[in-house]
Amino acid sequence: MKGASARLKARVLRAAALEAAPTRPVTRARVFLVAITGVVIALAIFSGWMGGVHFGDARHGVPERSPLFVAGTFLGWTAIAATATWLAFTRPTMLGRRRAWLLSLCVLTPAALFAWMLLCHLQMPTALAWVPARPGLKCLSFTIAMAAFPLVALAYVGRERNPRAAASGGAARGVAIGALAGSLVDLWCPITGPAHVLVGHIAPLVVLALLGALVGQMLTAVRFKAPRESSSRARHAPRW
Amino acid sequence: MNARHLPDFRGLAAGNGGPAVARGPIAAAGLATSADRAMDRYANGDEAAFEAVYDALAPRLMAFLRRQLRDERAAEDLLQQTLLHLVTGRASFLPGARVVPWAFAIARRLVIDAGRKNRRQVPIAVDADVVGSPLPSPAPWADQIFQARETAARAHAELSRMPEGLRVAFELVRLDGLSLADVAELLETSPNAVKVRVFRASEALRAALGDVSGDARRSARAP
Repeated sequence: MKGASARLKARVLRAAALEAAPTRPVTRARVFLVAITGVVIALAIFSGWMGGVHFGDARHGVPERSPLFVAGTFLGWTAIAATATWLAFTRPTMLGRRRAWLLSLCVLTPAALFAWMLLCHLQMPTALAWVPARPGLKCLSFTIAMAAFPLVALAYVGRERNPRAAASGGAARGVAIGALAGSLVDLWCPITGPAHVLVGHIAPLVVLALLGALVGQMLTAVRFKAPRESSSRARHAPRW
Repeated sequence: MNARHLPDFRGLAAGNGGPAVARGPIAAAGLATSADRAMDRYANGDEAAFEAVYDALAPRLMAFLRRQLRDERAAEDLLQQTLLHLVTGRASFLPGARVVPWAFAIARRLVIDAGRKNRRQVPIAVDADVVGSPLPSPAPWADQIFQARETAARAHAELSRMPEGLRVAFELVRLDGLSLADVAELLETSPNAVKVRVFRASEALRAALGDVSGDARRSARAP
């Protein structure tokens, strides 16, 4: 038995030495780099492609928003997004937050953001106006374009192993990053109709939650790999 | 399946279940701390610390995997995979975190995933060779060996009949030596709920093994 356990130990230590897994300081540096790159990409899209802050859209008859109103909606949205980000990315223990917690975060964050936008927009004269030329597809695309890179790259460089709720954790992170990206889109978008808010500002969070769940399941989930050391297929499969 | 794979149910059969806390050398408090420290050093880049992580975790994980899989080779394979997940995920190890619940959660996930991929449930039922095996030799302690094996077989049968929640909590606390807090974290519940589950499982086992322990006591008192 001692011989067998010594052989097993040697085998595991050898396999561990071959893994060349990055250390915590290296990974922290990579995560920081990815986060900075994500912010730069988002700001480049915001200022270069979207054209920065828009207070109104005279072409489609959308009245100007006051700077105070824009700042108010932006700050409220950002506060909700920052809270969601903190909850989605911090782990109180190595097993992370419970699945129920994460799924609640996925549902409550978009709901809170929608409620906040509705509350703010009710103060506008065009609160419930529907602008056929702006259904929200641009806002949806911009949000996804800003959030997709950091979502995937952070999951890849983070090297987490989540044996309990990989997909739920990924979904929560997708919603959180989408909410952060949405704060910039909110600065740009003057449309106040609830249908537009749902399609352009809330729907991307759902899309990013699904993408995050997929990425989480692919990159952070713990999955069994059939052993491949033996030459015979029959001997490969564990016999339980 | 041989006798060394059988968990020790003798204390339970004798009726001294006591509070739901881990016992024995495996549950020594210093072990977890040294494993956590070693994992922390390993996460920071001290490659040699992995051996200490292995020494602290492998015996406990191996006992858990053997009991779940009933196959030495499969248990070794999953032990290797569990530890390699710790290796690849070392950068995500939080400073000051506990490695034991993480490692057991990974091992448990691998067991479930492997069972799913093999399209079979992980067997918990009693092995035929445990129930009906003849005595190895007519040595003086043959009675005790037979008694222990019979007790273990009945305990396994009783465990396999239990609801999964009770069985898993009991196994992790009483047989694997995890703390209530660790098991609560693993099973996404509260330490009190784990305590209740372990107590119920212990009571069920004690009820099932009561006559065995009674026989054991009677035979011990006999001239």
